[in-house]
Amino acid sequence: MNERTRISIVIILLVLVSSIFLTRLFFLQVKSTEYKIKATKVTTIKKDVYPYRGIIYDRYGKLLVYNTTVYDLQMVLKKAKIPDTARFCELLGIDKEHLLKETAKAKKLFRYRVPHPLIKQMSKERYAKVQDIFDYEGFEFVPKLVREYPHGSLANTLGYIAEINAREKAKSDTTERYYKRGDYIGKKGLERTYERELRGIRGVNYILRDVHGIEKGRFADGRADTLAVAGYNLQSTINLSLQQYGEQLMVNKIGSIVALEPSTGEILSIVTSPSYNPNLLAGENFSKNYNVLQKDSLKPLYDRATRASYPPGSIFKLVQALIGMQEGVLKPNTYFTCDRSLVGCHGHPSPLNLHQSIQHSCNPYYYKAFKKILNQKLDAKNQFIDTRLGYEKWRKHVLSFGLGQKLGSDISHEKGGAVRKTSFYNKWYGENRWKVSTIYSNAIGQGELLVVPIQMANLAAIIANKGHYYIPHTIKSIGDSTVKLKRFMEKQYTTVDSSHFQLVHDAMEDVIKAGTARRAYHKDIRICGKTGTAQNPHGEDHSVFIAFAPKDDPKIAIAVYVENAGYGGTWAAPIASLMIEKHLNDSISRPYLEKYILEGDLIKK
Amino acid sequence: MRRENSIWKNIDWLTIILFLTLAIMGWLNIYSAIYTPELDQSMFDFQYQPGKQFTWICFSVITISSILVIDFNFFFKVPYLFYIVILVAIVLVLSPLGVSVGGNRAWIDLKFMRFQPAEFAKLAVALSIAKFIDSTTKFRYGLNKDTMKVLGIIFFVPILILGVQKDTGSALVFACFIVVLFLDGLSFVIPLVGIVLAGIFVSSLLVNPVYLILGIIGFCQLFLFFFIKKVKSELWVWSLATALWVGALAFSQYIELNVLYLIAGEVTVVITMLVFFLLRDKSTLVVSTLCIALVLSSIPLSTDYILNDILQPHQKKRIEVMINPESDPKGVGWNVIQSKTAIGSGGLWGTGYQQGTFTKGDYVPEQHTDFIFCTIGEEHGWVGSITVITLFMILLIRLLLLTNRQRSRFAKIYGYSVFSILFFHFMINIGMVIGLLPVIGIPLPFFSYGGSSLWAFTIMIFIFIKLDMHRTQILARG
Repeated sequence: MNERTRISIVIILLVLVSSIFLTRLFFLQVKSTEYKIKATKVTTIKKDVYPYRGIIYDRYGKLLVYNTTVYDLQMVLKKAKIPDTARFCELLGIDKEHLLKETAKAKKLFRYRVPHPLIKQMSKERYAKVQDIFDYEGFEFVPKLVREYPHGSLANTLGYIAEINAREKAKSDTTERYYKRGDYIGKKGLERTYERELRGIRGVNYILRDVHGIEKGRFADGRADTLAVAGYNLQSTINLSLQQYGEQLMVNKIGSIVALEPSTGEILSIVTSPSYNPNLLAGENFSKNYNVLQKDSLKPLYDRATRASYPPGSIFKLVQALIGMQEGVLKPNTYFTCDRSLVGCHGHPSPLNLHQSIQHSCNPYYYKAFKKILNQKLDAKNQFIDTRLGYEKWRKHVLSFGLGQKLGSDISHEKGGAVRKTSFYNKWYGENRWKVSTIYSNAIGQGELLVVPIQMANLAAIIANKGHYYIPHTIKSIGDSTVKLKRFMEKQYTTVDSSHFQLVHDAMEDVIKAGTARRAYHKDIRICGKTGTAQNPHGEDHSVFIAFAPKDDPKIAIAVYVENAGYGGTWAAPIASLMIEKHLNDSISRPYLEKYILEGDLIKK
Repeated sequence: MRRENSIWKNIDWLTIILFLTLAIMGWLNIYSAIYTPELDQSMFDFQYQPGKQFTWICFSVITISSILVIDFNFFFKVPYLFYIVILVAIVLVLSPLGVSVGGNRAWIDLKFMRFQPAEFAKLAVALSIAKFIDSTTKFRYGLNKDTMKVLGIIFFVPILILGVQKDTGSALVFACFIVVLFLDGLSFVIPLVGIVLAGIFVSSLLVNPVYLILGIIGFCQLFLFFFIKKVKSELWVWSLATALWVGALAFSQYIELNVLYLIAGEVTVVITMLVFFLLRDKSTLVVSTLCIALVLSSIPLSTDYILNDILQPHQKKRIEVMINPESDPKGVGWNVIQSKTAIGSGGLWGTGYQQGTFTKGDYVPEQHTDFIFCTIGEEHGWVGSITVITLFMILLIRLLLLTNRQRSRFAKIYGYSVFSILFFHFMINIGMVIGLLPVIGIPLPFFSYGGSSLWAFTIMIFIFIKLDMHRTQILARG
């Protein structure tokens, strides 16, 4: 074997090795896609860009809720240098234990190069103070958005956002698959109802990171990224100053106020008391504060205005009078004597006509009227059947007043009260075994009848409108659109002709002038109202009042319900009167009345 | 003056251009592998590796100039001295002068620079064997004193390196001198036997040993059938063996591993018979074939023993990983998986210079040293790989052809050495990076970051260029 052959052999070997390499590389690089996919998967992470959540204004453009920036202080263990722990802790306002605890936690999670939050949600103010003098290496302030309420009002209506739970996620996934674990979602109130409008659309950034998980820039220079779309801003129908005034009046009282604009169904104010400062449920202390609020015996998280079912009491007599007139069994000049053997009453002239029955809230009158409505001899032979048929007719009228079912407002978790079906009584007493004397309590708004405050306000609006209403709502416009949701623009009619309402208006005016609610009187505003004193088997009677004003061009319809406060005229009526004055005049001319209400403490008592 | 001119005319510019191209490509690649956009680091900033590598390149240029300028006779005089100096330096690594980098105590700190004696040891061996063989009159390969001395010169160094540094990679490269000796006239049988043994060893890891043994026996039987006429006269013996073989193959899937001894028994029986019949003809080919069959068959059986009892656990792991990287995805397999992914993500054209996501993200350990080829694969794709591999091929072939035209044995042996060393580095490094060979930490010449390695390769090549420049004079000297 000569030298040439040997060299040839080695060259062949060299070419062979190179060819093997190139073939192998061809399969690795050109033929197979597996490695490209794998490389992208390994080096790229999807990072969500959270959109700006829509903000909510009141009807005059004042902020109800907006987003504010807080700062997380993130620590990169590997780079972090704290030469003087004492100054460091003092500067940030933390104690040494916290620092040690978080450091240990970061170590446990192997976050040496990846940032670990040392302080969560530092306020803007504290950040501003710390930022300039903070000169430690390996720390970074990362801005974050949280909800903030500049006023501290309207908590139960606005609701709150919090991390989505498994149940909510499962429910949402059946329709759209949008949320991820850890996402925030509107849990209650408007935040919940308008979640889709407020939240916007999440964007995605594709970020390259290195083997330690540290970010190294955008994948494909950001060409694959999608932008986040900000949520819509909402304009509310709430009058914030009226709302705040209402909340002030209800301090130390349990109950609620709902004020509507009759011509539109817009909710001007919706107070539930006691309530809480909505800022408590925004930000880092959510769970801590939530637990405290939930354990509170006065239930500040309970939205009484839309969820508490109460007996309406005497305000229901208005409905009875209207149904009676519509059925033709009551005429303006129908007189009944106040026969207290049937049901208790209070001192007033007797006998009295329909107008006076409202003005003085005569109980026996409505016992007789109810009997007339239910027993119209639809079945001449059997009184029981006659009552049942009459009851069904009556119930249909009552339901048309928006009672007995949910109104369908845009406040979440609304309840609908109760107007019992005949089947309820059949079950209770047996079929054809009940008649008016069995269920007579309903005549004066007691018994099985249950109404939610927002329905009471709506009732006031129906009377003000003489027979129709719009579903109460709190949002006027969404984003740039000025058109309301369709269901809030449809007129809802009652089964009572508008001609019957004038008498009720007049009588309600006299309730204030010379009836049961003289405390609600205002010399310049013609207020029409009706008191109620709902009997409460568990304690003192509830004080109820509904009203609208001014009489000839109603701008506000209101319902006030104060638990365990006695007569409707004593507490509920003056509160309503002050609210009306506040809304119409934006000032209060009766400081003595205001003082009486503000000082009234019905919880301690 | 005219003489000077003639020398410069004799210089092989092609090699120089190839060298420079590879060195500059290497430097740019190190910059890319190290590059982090956040740090505004210059290619020339001495604080970072690219800057350091650039300094080494400049340093190399000075060295190149000195090599080209000094008298070529110098290189005939220094080899033994240099050899001894390097041996001392290797041992000095253990002294307080030595430093560890990445857990490997292989550097000597000379305050103004660090250098790795092992990188220069190859050069020392190349020069020394060239001198020894050149100066020994009537040198012949065989079982003689001179050949043993050559082997001694070669293998003393890696044994020392192994002993001192426990660095298998650096030691393994010295196997390349087998190629040198082969090119210089050593019988091809020795390298061939080595290759076959290694091949069977590796195959026995991949293939069920039963089939491997059957394959070897089958091959030997075929060999006998075609090449030995005598077999036909003893056809019944051959047929019996073949029948046994076919039977074994048919039942092979039922044969458990301990049944292998039965096969070994079969081999022994057949061989005894064949030897008995054929020894009369003194057919050495037949006898040696049968012996080889027996020896080869025993390798798969001893594989487990070698793996478990001879190799160190980490070496065993590396061989396992080569066969199946997924077997150890968090350990050694990690390097191979990551480097394959990095290279695979390059596609045909690559992601572009400094655009490699895997490279940027430090996903491949030792990216700028032993795994530098990943950067080329990722950022320049298959096209880049072809370019680099082709450049290496051209350089290597050029070196071989240049060597072939040398007249002195010194220059020839030295030239073959330079070729073989580069070839081994090229083959083992790229083979490792693309997952064809076990992970053995040796650098890719000119590309891997490291001053000692770059400097040593530069000196190695330019001494050869110098010798080539003076080839006519060297002949005259002889």
